[in-house]
Amino acid sequence: MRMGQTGNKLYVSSSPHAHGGISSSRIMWTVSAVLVPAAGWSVYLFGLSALMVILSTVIFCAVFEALSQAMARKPVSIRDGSAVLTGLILALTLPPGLPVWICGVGAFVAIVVAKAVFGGLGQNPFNPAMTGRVFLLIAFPGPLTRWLVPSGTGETLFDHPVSAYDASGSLVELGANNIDAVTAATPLGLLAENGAHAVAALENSTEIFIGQINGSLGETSGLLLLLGGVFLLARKIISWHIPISFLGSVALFAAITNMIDPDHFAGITFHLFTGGVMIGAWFMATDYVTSPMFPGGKIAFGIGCGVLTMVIRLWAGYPEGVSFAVLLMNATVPIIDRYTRPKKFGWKRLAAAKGGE
Amino acid sequence: MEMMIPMFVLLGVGLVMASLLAVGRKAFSVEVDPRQERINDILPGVNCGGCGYPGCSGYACALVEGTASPTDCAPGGADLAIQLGEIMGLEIELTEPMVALIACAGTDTASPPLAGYIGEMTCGAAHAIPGAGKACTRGCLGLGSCIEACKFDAIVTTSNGLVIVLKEACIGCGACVDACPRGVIKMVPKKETVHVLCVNPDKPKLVKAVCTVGCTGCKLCVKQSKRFEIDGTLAHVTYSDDAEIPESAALACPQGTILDSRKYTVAAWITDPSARKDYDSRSTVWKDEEKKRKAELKKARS
Amino acid sequence: MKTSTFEGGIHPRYNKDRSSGEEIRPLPAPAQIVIPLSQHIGAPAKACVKKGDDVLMGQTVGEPGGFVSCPVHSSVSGTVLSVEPRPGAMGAPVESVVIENDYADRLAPMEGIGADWESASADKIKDAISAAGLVGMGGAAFPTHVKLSPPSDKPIDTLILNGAECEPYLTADHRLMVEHSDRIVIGMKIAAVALGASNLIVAVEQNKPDAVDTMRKATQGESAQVMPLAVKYPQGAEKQTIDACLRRQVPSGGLPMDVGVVVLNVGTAAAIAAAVIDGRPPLERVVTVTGAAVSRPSNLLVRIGTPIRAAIDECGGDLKRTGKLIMGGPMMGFSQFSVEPPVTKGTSGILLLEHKEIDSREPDPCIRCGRCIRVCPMKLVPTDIAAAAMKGTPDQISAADVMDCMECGSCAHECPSRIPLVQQIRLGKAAVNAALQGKG
Repeated sequence: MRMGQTGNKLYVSSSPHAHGGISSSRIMWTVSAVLVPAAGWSVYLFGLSALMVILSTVIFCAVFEALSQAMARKPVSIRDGSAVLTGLILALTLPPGLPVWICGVGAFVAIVVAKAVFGGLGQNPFNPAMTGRVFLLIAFPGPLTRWLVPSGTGETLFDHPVSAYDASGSLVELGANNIDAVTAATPLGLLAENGAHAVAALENSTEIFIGQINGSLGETSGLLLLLGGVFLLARKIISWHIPISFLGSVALFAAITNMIDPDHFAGITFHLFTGGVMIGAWFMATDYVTSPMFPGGKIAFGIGCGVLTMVIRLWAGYPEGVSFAVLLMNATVPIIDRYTRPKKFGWKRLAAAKGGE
Repeated sequence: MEMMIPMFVLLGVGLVMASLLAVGRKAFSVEVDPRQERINDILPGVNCGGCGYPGCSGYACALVEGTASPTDCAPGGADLAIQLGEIMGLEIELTEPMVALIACAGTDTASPPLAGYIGEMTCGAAHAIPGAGKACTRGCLGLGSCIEACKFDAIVTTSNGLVIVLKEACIGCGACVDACPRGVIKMVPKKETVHVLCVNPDKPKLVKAVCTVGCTGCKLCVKQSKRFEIDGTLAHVTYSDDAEIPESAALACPQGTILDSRKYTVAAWITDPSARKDYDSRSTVWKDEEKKRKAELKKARS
Repeated sequence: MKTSTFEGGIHPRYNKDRSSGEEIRPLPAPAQIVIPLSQHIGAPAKACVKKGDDVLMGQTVGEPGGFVSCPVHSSVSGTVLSVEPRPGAMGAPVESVVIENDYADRLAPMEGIGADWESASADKIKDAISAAGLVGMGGAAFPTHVKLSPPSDKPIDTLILNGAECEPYLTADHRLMVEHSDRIVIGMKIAAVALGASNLIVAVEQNKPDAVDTMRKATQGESAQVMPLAVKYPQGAEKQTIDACLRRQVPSGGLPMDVGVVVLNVGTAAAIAAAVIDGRPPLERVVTVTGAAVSRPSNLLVRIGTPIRAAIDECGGDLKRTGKLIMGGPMMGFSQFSVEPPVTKGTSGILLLEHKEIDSREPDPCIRCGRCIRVCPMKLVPTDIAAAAMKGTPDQISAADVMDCMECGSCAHECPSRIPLVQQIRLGKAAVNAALQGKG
């Protein structure tokens, strides 16, 4: 970027000669910092088992990024924060207590398979963290759906005696350091298994709002994620289009289905604050690289994510669908971008003039 | 028995598909001149674009259509041209093998930059910014857009702000000539050994102000050999005749612009200061002689 | 205060308060001036003096080389030293007339239309403007008489005086409006007569309340209207000013006259007053000399042709601390590699940035954040244009609407990856133009 001698000599360059000061790495680190409270909350709830997942994915992601860049003979740029951010987001989508080696596999898929092989930052069509999570979900369905009950909330989290459910229908103890840990189905799991009445008590409780529910690390605190998202919005790091259309379409979908059959389908708050909708709408769907660039496209993308999430939640085999929805919509980004390109300044009269000829 | 049903079904599907493909190949086959395939087989397949056609198959097509000449393929050289001529049934007049020459000796010490440059690191980008690159606005920028363009890795950068062509690797496709925004690269006959390494047509005063090794059009080389010509204030070698250029020609140049590759390789000439020092001492000797001769002439006249 | 604006745009650090309070003061004429024969867009002027000639202040030294061209005048009296290429305002050498100043300031005879310009015909006014060699003084330097001569099928209803001065650092137009509002208003009225425009608007960015006030006072009793515009870059770009003032969009590839508007810089208006009433060509202009490496930021009245060195010295510019020397503003100005280039009719500022202000970080890959798209005042997709410019064919580049870009620099200013978007887009334009020329 620089040529010629330094010292007191003048520099020449193309205009503009001023820069606003924002940098990619500052954006990445800001988003990472915004996720820290939510991550901290999960550590408060799940203790060491959550911290281990966070640390291992972040470190593995950074290491894999450095290794793949070194192998491609590119400058190693882990300081730009993108790998750390990927690691953090990946960690927040995983259940606490996940073995470290599985975290490593997830980090490998996220950084190497989903990003580096496509040419690194800016070239990947699919959200790396989501790719990593979905790979793990398919490859290790057992560990990925074993949810610990948050400590301090007792084994009866809900009014209903449901705390003992898991995939096999029994309590599972995870390792020596988690003797007291109890696993249970997530609220969404309950919904899928037992219908809306099973989660009816949750609907208006503060527990799901603050995040005293079980789930993956970042699914727990809807409130902190919401605050973080609003902060990003205020700092103009993300625009409102994707999160609002995502959340809005989820809410609308939930409202309609709930109205039709309240026994079977849960309501708006439940759907917005359980599972990955909050983190998905604010932090995953808004990933610059894998989301549309134009306002109209962003709204279409957000609606697509919201609708797909709800379809998967209500009718598909998995209780939660955010990561699948985001990945599916990632694939549509080139087409969305193509058809939502804004009209350039002064297009109108040009078209009229041409028509007149 | 139940196992067999899917097997037969699949076998049937396969057969139907295969016959469809076979029919399709017959029905939609495109008539290709058989010569085109033979030509395609012997072309180098590097798709260098030097012939001006889209890749080797484009060239093969143009050859068959008669719009291209069998000698247009630079990488293939003479051998290929003869083979292509045989296929096409044409008489071949072999052309001189050419190589690229970076006609600039202005290292960043010879023509030091006037300012630092920040921006896109391609020659075209720097060329568009006044003050970017070296003081000389005509010479090689050294950012290597020609290296990007060269498909044969025949151009390399030197450590002092220039690029040089590796004569053995260059196949003479000429892609680098188009890549250079300043027109520094010339195609010259491969056998030539003496070159004027400057393309700056400016007045001598301006040339000297920006570069210590630029051609000032002093005509001293012309006195040494008829092969040199002066165009304005810029000397160049002509290739119309084969006369040997004497070693004294390079020595005669007071600026050190002329490279004699019988004595020095381009790399040595440009990168090795000792080669120049050697030359410099000789050129001062030569200058003294010239002065003496002029003085004698004056004396004789008076 | 109700303000109008356009879509997109950025909020750079303006740094205008360094010099916005400094009264305009004249810079003494230097011993030698260099009058470039091309100070405008269009064909260069042809020198009509030669070495050794005696020239008067205001004498024509270069005659226009075509319709879209301008004469140039000597800004001092003295002797022609040479006619030769000298470094121009963009850094590259330009054919110039070099004149040695005799400090007598002997004025050439000048004949204006006088105070009764109101009764003069439009053609007469345009002739006076053309003879004075007026160009747009906002920076683009388009010949004013061409701007004032729209074809008859494009009637002009509105004349906008552009006092937005959205370029950071620059305060030349601001001071001119505060100190010489009367001249500006007279010039505007003359231009309105030449154009037959009835709707007169003075557009001023809101960050210059004193200029809004003085212009309001000066236009009291006139039909003109002062419009405060929102503070946003590039508010002063012609098409964006029109959009903000009138909600008319100049069609792509078109000119303001296509929507019945002519936009003149306030400095140009003041120069029109002098040219038409007194027959005086622009011999000097207001130049803002500013930047962190300047100890006394000032607004100087500088003779055209003064080497910028003189202005820099006058204002205490420290070249040792200077990392970038820019003619014009930081967004669209041209970086210089020496202090030799002269002030021309289009030079609005001389900016000395310190070494630490220079951003020379390696660009990162594009992360598709879309900031450039959000801020582009032309609503283009800068990343697409830049990508086409670097890798595409001329057809692909022009399909990305490269020619709609006015190189305002908003995209590169906001790019978190610091991709030199404007430079890449310029290369694309050059490639498209080269291809067009090849075809033509």
